[in-house]
Amino acid sequence: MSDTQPNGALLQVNDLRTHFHTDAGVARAVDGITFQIAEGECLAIVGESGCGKSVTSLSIMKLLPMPPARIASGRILFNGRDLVDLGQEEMCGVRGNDIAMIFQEPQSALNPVFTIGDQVAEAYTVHHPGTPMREAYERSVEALKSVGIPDPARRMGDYPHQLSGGMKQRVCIAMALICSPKLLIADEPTTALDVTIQAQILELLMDLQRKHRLALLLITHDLGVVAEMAQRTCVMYAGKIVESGATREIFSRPLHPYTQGLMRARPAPGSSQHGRQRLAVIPGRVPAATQFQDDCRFRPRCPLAQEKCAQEPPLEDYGAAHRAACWCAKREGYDAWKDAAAASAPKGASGA
Amino acid sequence: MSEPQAQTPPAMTGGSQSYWDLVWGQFRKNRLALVSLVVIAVLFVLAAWAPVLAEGKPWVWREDGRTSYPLPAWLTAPTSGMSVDYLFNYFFFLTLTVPAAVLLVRRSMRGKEFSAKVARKRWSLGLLAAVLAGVVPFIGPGSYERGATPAEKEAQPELQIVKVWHFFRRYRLDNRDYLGARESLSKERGDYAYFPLVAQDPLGQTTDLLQPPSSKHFLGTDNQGRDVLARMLHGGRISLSVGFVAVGIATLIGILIGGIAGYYRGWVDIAISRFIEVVICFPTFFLIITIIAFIDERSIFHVMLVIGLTGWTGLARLVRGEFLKLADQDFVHAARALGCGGARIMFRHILPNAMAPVLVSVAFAVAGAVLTESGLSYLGFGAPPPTPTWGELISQGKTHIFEGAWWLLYFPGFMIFLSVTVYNLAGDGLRDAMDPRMRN
Amino acid sequence: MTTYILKRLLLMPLMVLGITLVSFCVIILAPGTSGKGGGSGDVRSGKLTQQQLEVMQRTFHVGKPIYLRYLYWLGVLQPEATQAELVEARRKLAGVREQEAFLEDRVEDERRYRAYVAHLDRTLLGSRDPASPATPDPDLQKTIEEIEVDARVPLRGMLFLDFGMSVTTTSVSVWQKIKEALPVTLAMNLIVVIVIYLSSLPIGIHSATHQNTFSDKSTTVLLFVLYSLPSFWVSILMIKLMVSLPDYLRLPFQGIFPAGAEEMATLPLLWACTKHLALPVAAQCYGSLALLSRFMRASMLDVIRSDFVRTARAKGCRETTVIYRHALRNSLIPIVTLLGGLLPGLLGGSVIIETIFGIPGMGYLGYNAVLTRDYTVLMALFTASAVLTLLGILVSDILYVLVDPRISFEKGR
Repeated sequence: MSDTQPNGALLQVNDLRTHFHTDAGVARAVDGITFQIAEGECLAIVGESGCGKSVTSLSIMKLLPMPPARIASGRILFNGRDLVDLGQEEMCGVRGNDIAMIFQEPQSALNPVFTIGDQVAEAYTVHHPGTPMREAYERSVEALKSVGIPDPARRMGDYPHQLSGGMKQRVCIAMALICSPKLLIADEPTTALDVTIQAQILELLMDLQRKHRLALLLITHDLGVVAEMAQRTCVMYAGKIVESGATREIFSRPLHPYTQGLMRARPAPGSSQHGRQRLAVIPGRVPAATQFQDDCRFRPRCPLAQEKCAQEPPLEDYGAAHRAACWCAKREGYDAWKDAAAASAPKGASGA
Repeated sequence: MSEPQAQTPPAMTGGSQSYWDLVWGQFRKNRLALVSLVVIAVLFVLAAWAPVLAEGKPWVWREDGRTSYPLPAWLTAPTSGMSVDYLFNYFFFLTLTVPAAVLLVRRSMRGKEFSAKVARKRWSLGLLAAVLAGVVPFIGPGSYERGATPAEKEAQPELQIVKVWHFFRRYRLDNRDYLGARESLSKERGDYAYFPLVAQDPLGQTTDLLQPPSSKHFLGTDNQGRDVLARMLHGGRISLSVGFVAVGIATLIGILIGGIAGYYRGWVDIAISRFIEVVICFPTFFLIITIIAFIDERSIFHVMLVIGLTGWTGLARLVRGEFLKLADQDFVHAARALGCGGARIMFRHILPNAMAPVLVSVAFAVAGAVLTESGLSYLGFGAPPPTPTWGELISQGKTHIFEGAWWLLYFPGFMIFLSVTVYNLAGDGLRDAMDPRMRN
Repeated sequence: MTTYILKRLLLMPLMVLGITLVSFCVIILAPGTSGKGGGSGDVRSGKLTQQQLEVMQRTFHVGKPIYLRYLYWLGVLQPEATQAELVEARRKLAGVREQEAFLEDRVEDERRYRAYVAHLDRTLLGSRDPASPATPDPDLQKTIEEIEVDARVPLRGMLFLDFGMSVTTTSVSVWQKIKEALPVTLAMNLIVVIVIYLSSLPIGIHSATHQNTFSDKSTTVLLFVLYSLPSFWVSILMIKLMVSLPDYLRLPFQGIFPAGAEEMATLPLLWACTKHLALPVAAQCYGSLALLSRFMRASMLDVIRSDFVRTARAKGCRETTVIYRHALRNSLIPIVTLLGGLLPGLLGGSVIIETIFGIPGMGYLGYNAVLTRDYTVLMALFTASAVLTLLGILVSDILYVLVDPRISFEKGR
């Protein structure tokens, strides 16, 4: 895919390192990650909480509080422009206009003291100063309508607390898309919602993505969402990308032991009928960002750990743009997983 | 993080890391709050030691071959039932017995291995012994008798003598002017006297009116020639005790009323809430001085009582809110399902979990009570006249402002400021320590 | 929103009734109004005369059952017989005063006449004792005193703003005293509240947006120190400073009006009053100002960290828009509710400040009433300041609804 032609990418992140300077030491929350998104493409970043997914997205938007946080190195090229070099003032022109973002908690993402209409219209007028009130209003109604809010004109005067969670997330999407940005970053957009609402919101996002040729950076820990939405996937662990490639490829042939662990920790369709099958758990937890070593960061939890893992494994290509950062990815990793998968779930497990 | 804290009652969870251990761990990291805690302790020790540091009575007085112990007598005999001196004199003995007990317990355990249970038992026994030992100087058969023999009265009609039959010795308590009499002691007869560090009587009037600080009076004298340092040390007793007693009364009332409103809800809550809203409307300070002015024979305990009786509203509101929140949680439902009564649920199950915010606001309330008391004393509505208080000294400073009596303004004012600040800092530290967001 | 405000308004009369009940309980506490021998201490200690004590006891209907006393004092019920008596007493007293004036004239004539006769006697007849002037009839004197007491007992009760006459200042009604003191206190507290809010908001916002910088840290320390300083001490220190300053730098620290205020033009008068008010206003507001600034900082910090502020930034809003449009209004919500809590403290705190700076407001009036045991004035002050505070709390409640759209729906259900 676009991996071979980085110049055609809409967003290209090169060796991004975001560090937090705290009392407890320097936390290397994002530690040298590289990925790119082409126009109209959906890229998912997956990982447990504390892996640096959200920090990555906030770094792209430069929304991190800058005294503790610092972009230590790397480049974030958007349409050929390096966002790292931009000042806050210029960044304001990019946010919402070129890159928009929606967040995890729609309950608190809307300002409680302003009406929906005010907030949606503001997103438009910020980037189109001097727009007449009338026009901003009409555009807002239009935007609310396009995200499937019934009776949008009446909803304009409502306050956020009068809306349900799903409705609020729709308002957030409307707000994000009103200036027709080229890239939408969705940071766990469905985590805080009910399952039925989740499906509706995902469908809406896919719809809008197709309609506007929108690039979508989807941050999530939900592999189901990934399988459904993303063309390509990056798996993050402890501030690094440990595996990346086409979603189909990763689901059918996970190379990194961490990815394999994630796959096994997911309830497979139909597994409940077998009864005796239990979800595998990855033992331990993500180390604190201040404690990162220069070895393979997954080593303490890895079932395949060996002496070589004391050195950091490079991200190597294993064919078809499928990359993984593991010393034993090619042989043992894949084979071991395949055996285990075959033993626990004889059929249907690979049907992603 | 602190997620489970909202679900399970933290005060009920046992184990090594209880909720209060966590809070204390956080509190210790706040250096300013820790310092303020130490300053509060120092202020209390100073107040307890006031008669030992600054008093016009000697420890030992030998004259004409007769030895008496006026200061110990004053320390253990109630000169006036309506003063806080009794309490602080007991504190004084505690400052002696408690460190002694700590030393003894440490020594008895040195070099040996004990289980935690035995060690805890030893510590609590030792401290209990210390607390009891502090009482010993005050007890005695028929502890004291007021009055003097007819012969003594005839010789010195103005003399008030209290004879003390004490636990271990018998001595006399009188209001003789020992400082004046010191001059007449003669070494040839073998007379001697041991006075406290600052040999100045906080109540004794002298002719050194409004003297600036000097080597004789370290912080000067007031308009009746009394030593300001001695008065300030003794005045600390009033300010510190008023803060705690008044806020203690207010807290009790607040917890009771707020707890009932929050637990029983419905019309009880409505009635109590409206009542609180009505009481809140009254300007507290004005209410206090009016009620105090109504009291004919006023003492410092009246002042404490009135400050306490007028200061419970904020706490009651706070406790009500906490109870409303907590009464709906599962552990309360569980307790109710087990058949616990209302009072038991309120005080055994809910209250310990509502204590955190209550403690914070108690710390701030103590600071407020110290301010209120000093304002009352300044206006002349505090402790009755000869009692030394910080506010009263400032009021003298205001009267003599044109004579430039700065030592009457700066020193007591600074003491009020210092004590209020340390209470506020401690409260701040406590609040930060209890804030789950600050924990990591 | 309107239902919420309407509900609060409907509660008001009930709350006022509650206030009168609490005030009445304070009267019951008063030594002069409880029991039969009550107040004799005041008379013995020379704080009140027997007649003043009687006026007070009659005003508060000592000796009647408590519930009747409350209702009489309110003016809901009226002892019918007494009512007629009081009116009669007023009429009589007016008559007596008239008669007295007439008699005084006559006595004066008589004195002059006698002096003339004596003069004649001395000059013409030599020394001869002039007849002593007639001593007043003791019986008549006593009845006049009784009538005077009757005439000073309130006719209608306090619900009709008839608080009776001042116990210690003869022939001045309590209402008159309050009418003189109220505008002073109100104006001063209004200025204080405005100063507090106008300065604490910017301070809090600046501290929060520059968190952990030097200016934030030093402001925090300064505010903490200010919050812990006793206001009466600061007032005295300010006066001490003023005394030591040269004349042209000195601010006045006694009263609120300059000498010769009547002849001054409006602008110079305003300027002079401003100068007079500077010190007391400063002394009264710095504590609350420090508290409010700290609250504002904390509230602002809370809001700045919240998700919707991040959303606003993600929309592309500039930092000033984010702070002043999105964060400010939310951070104001807890600050507005503090206004209600501030008022009782301000009215009560003004006792000390007004006494020190000699400002003839409610606090000063109350302080003097306490000293002279002017119970009628005290009770009226209580009720009046509590009702005022109630109004203030109502205002802050309404402001709260205006700032936070959520409230009307949560409580109005």
